[in-house]
Amino acid sequence: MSMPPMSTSATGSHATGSRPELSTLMARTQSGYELDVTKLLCLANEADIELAAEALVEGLPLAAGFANFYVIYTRADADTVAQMNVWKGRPPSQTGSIGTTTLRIPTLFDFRQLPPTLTEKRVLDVMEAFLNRGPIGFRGPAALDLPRHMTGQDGETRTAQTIVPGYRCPSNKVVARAIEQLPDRYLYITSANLSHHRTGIEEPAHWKPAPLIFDFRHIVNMQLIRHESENVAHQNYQGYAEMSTTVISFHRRAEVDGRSAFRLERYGSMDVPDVRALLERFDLGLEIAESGRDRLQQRSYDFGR
Amino acid sequence: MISADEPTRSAWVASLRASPVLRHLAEHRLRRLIDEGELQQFTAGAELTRADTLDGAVFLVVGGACDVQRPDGAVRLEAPALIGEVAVLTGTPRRATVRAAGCVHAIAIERDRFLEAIGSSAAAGQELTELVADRLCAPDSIRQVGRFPVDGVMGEGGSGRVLRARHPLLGIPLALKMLSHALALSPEGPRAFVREASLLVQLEHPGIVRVLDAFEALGTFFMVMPWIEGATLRAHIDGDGAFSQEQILRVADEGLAALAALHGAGLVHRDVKPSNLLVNASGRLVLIDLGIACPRDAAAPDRRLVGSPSYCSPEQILGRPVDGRSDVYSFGCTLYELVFGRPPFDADDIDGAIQGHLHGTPSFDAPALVSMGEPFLRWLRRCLSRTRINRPDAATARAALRQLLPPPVVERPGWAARASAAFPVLRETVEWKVRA
Repeated sequence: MSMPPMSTSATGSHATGSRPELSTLMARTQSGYELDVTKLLCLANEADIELAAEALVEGLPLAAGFANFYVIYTRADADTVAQMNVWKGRPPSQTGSIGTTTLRIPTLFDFRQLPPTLTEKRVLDVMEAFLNRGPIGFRGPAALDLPRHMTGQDGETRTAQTIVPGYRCPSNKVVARAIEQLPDRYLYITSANLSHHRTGIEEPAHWKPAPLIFDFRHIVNMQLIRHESENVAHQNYQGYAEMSTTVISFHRRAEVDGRSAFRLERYGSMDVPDVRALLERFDLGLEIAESGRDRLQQRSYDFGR
Repeated sequence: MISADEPTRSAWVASLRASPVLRHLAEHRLRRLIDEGELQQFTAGAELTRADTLDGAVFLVVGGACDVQRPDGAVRLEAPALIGEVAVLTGTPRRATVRAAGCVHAIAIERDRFLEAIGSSAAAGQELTELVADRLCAPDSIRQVGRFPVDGVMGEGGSGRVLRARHPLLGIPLALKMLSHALALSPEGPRAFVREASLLVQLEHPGIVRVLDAFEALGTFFMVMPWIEGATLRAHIDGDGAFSQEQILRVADEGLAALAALHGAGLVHRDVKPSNLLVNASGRLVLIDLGIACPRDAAAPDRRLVGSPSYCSPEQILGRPVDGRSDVYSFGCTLYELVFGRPPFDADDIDGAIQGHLHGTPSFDAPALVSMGEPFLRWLRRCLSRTRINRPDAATARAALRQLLPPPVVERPGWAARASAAFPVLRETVEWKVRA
């Protein structure tokens, strides 16, 4: 199902014309009627956004269209995060990434712990620019009140990582509506793929809902809110591959050619030249971390495009 | 595994597929049934099955011919042919004696294997239920299930059939709810049935039909309930025309009281609709058909949608865990139909109804059959909230409804009442004794 790692030039070919729409996954009703579970809720519909948010508030996992691919959100309490990790096939104690609204992103970080080469304003300006473009992940020094299961460690620094779809994605409304009703200001977010611990092979994130639901059919209550159209989602984010986001970090001191720099922690949907170009506007460089050298794989499907 | 070339095996599978029940099974299931069977040889005149006996195997005749002796005549069956599957599946006595007409080869398939295969297909389960119901009521059948003589099938739905039966000793009419084989044969089916029946047996509320007993027969489960004379709300809606404002308020009040009691016992009905609400002979609303009731916060397994599309809540459609508020939504749809003459999302097909519940907003501007007043419609709108968080539970909804009910009529005490109050002794039973 998966393709070998894609080269930088290969990602440019994603901007194709029209593609066949997504396949479907049917559920049978008691009387034998077939119901397409992937089409029940859609991000284009306000009523569906309300129902999707309700699922999160009630503690159910929600697979959601996210920029040009899919992620899974759950509540961020330790038990739910551990359960979701198990469902994915990961160790229950694995640290979670944070999903939140764009306005709440700054509250996840402790800007007093920034390296001396960066200032809070500069980091926030960079965030703003990336959010205007599309999906991205930020890793930085964790705010003090974040729980241990939602933070990682890098040397002496406790870090938080947030994955966000950018301003344009309607999934922000689902997250916002859920957070309004929850005690926490954030959710747990994880890519919509099984863990390689479970399947034994690298599992790229899903960008089509039917195979996603099929992979996670062991979660009886899994909910899904889909993109209005896979094609439109793809076209809305030209230059972004349909895979987990690129993650840039600002908790470590980094310099490139004598300039302050962000670090590339994960090489995902946003291509490195694009990341560099955007940072350039703020007179910042990009240092490639060991974990960001190889690009993630994009999932290919045997049917449709 | 029984060895045979591919064309032969395909012919055998085709014979299995000729059965009305087995035709719903997937190809690989049918092949597995054959593979797991035992090849037997019969000499001329030997009996494969005998009429009026119970035994546990089906025969797929794969070589030779058989004579089938039925009460209505004799026929000869040439291989490949399937013998005795209905009797084995339903656990009823065989209707025919089958003898080998010469040397016969037949594959014997055990009953448990058959039931396991049927359990894999909801459609096969439904078909089997229909077959059992037909057999129970056929003129030449035994017309008895368990110890109860059966008069006929009185109702049917996705969860099973309702049979009218009689108490063997007292002769009083009873309702037997036969659970669909699709549910009974599912992996969790038996355990779920026992759990739910044990809860329902303990429920005692004038607004909920009583479950008197439960038993297993014919490959499925039965609940024994009293037979209630009356007509469902569906019959009222389709027949008499509009309800009065007072009648609707009474239906709402009594229905919510029943639901609150059911929810208080930890159960959710999941199929509240006009045809499951019966007005009994004394005019009281009774909630019937608890066949798919489930414990609260249980989710439908396998994302299977249970309930009736015109009345089921968004969370049921989405396969989420349900609680009492799901029933309040369905009951709200029922009340909406009483007021406006149609369900809130009256679509031509299941898709339309489902889309309505998930995305639509019920119209309260449509012409109503009866004027209920703005406060009632506001209350009803809350019961029909798309999200559970905005919907009241049954007890809260009933408390809010009671604020809308007209104050109870207080009778002015007449002379007799005043006299009773003044002279309580007048109301006592006095035993006069003659002093000797």
